[in-house]
Amino acid sequence: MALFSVEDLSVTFRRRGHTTTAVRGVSFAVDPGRTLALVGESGSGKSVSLLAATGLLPGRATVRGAARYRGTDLTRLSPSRLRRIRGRRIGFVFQDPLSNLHPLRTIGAQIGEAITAHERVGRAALRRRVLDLLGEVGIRDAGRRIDDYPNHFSGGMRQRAMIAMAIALNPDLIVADEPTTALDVTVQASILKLLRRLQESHGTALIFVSHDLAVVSEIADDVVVMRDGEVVETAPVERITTDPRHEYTRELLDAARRGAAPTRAPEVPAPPAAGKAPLLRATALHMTYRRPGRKGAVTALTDVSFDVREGEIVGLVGESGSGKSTIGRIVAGLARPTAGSVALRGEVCNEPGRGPVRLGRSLRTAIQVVFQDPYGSLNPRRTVAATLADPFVVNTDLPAAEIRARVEELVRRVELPASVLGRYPAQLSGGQRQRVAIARAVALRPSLVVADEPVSALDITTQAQIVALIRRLRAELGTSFLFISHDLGMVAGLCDRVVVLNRGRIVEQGPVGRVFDDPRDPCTRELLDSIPGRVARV
Amino acid sequence: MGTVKHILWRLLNIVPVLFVVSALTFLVGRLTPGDPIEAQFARDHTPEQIEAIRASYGLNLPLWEQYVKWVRDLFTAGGGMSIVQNQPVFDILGPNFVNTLILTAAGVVICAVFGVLIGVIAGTAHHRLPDRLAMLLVQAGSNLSVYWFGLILIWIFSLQLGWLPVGGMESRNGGGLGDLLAHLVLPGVSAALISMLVLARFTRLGIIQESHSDYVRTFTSQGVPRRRILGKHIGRNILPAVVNIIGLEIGTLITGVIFVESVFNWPGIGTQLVNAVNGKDYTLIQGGVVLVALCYLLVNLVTDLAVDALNPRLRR
Repeated sequence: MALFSVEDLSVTFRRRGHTTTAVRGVSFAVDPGRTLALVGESGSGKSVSLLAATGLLPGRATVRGAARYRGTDLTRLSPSRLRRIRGRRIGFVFQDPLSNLHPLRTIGAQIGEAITAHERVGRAALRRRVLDLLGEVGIRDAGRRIDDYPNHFSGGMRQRAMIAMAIALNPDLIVADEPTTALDVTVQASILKLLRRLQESHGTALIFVSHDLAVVSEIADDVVVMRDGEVVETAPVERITTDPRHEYTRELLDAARRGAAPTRAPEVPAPPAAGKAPLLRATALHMTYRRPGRKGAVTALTDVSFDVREGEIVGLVGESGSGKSTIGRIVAGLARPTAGSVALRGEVCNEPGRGPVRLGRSLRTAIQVVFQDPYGSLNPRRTVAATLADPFVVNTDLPAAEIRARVEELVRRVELPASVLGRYPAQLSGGQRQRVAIARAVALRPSLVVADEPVSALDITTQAQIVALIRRLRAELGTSFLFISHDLGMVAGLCDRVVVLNRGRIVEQGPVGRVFDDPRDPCTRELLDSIPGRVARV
Repeated sequence: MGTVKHILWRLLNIVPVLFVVSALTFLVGRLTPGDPIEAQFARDHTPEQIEAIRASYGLNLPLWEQYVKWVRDLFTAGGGMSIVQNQPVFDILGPNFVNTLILTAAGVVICAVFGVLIGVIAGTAHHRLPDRLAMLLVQAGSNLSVYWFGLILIWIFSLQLGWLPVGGMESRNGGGLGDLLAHLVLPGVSAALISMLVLARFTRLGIIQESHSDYVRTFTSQGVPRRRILGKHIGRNILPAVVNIIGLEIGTLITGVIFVESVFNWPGIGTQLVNAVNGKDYTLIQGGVVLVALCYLLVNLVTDLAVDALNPRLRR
């Protein structure tokens, strides 16, 4: 008998008279000790069906069908009996480990909570168990980190802490909802390894939700492919990767392969004339931070120098904590370096000093930024039209009618329908939001756009579309991009040159083709090896 | 070490604010028309005598000298002599100011306890009957005036039911803490009303928002009981906001109390300040305003420090 099975599950949401069906007649099952992956792009109903099956769905949803754990239908259990199964029999790991942890409670207290929810444990014993768990999920120096708050942990460590919560009571089944999506490739690889190891040592079954077939192929035994709330294909992983039957599975597989073995971008149009100043020159940037309450300073950047030429897309890669975003912030004038300078067309625009960077109007509009989280960087209470009008209203004296025309043109340029103009960010999809953020960045025709992980919160098909958009904008407007990413596949497919960072130092830079085919630094090699599916396929 | 330094720095910051407040009240008093000495003595004194009286209060000096003298008096001479009552200002205000603080404290307690309680009931029953009833109460209550509400309370609980005293601070034959508490109930409730409803709103909103957050889902998924999630985790996360609002509302309460005092005949500084304004008793007004401002600043300081202490990310 299957350990956990979902039978003919349907989920409908009612909101102000409208009913939307998110999941339609979905069935799947996982046996003890096995790994089942649910794959599909965002909105395909993967997470919703699992949350519905375990009674974790918020709001007013109608759930039909059955979700059986060892024969018991969870959808018919009383809240208190369901509570006794959650955590003890079924553990959960969610996607974004920061928002999924309580910001004002220590990591140790939160892991302890998962234990005391089901057992009576003395203080000292509890602490010992939490310490053991932290050690088991690979958190070094657990004795010192147990009393840290989530904001002291890196993304990967937070995800490890969440896994510690999930395995605290040794459940039979772990449900992991996109557990590595927000992490960079090296961390992703280590988390996958951890999950596999825990599974082997405890015989736990795993349901793994992901949009990335490459990741899934590394961990799953069986794969369920979902689209638009329905299951389109169920098969063992070997068959899915070698002989996909459904057209959509083939699409996902192609997307995963493109990510790992990307097609090269065309070379830079024309090499700039020698002697002419590059568009952007970063010279010997150093950055140190002081941490409140702790001794000493943290060095974020050491002697970082690189150029961005006119019309060039430069990739900035490295694992989390390598200083990529710090460089982006300094280039964009959002932070001052401790030493060194940034010059735009030979004119210094950022150097050490106190207070915010102040720039003249021409410099201010010359560099624009696109952030990772488009929802966080758009004002939720303003329509798309209002958001896109802002750059013109603030920086130009154009009449209202002209601004409206420019905004409409911008929306066309980023391939959005005119109907989005009156909508609010919450009414847009993730990809649409990022298009709006990009449109805002290019509104005033900047020379350089700093894009800080602009696609890593998006699913793989949307990622490809956004990358294509950036390439087209470069061709049409001649804009240069500083593209910050942890995704080497993406960088290889998009950028002309790449700068590889490790612990705040540049370890290697050069044309994409050269760096990727012939990596000279071990750090670069390690990054390349962590691309999921690469070893298997190349 | 860092914390002590921080507190000292914040205390030091109070000085310039107090300077501005005192200078403004001083100026506003002098720049409005009317002269307290003329009003009191014009009928039976010669102009020369009036000049002499004026000189004895230092009112013939240039404005800045008057200000400096007054500030010195604040520290050394009990806030200077009241022009009308001929007594040091703090001697007049002192006992009544304590009464005002007692009433304010009662208001704060009622505001905090019942505001949070209403908010929690409404927030946990979001969209259900208790929530709707509580919000109806909040809507209606927010529009009541303190005068009217106070009078209605007196009519119901004192005149009709006879449960509580009509006004004042103690019964004629005197009597103990119980008597004081009985006298505190009605004015305390009227003073706290608006602030309590504001707090209830914020508490409700905080609980509703936090209930939908990811970490609540995480705890639910680990099988942590709903009640414990609410009490321990959601409560902890909205606590800084609640403390902040209570701090802000104490400021509102101090001002509101002055009205409540006149409805309930409470012997606080409210009545005295109104009389002082009517009689243009400069020194008394200034002394009163400085006292209230100082309280306000201290409350703000304590609130800020408490909110900082509650946020481990800001801990020094």
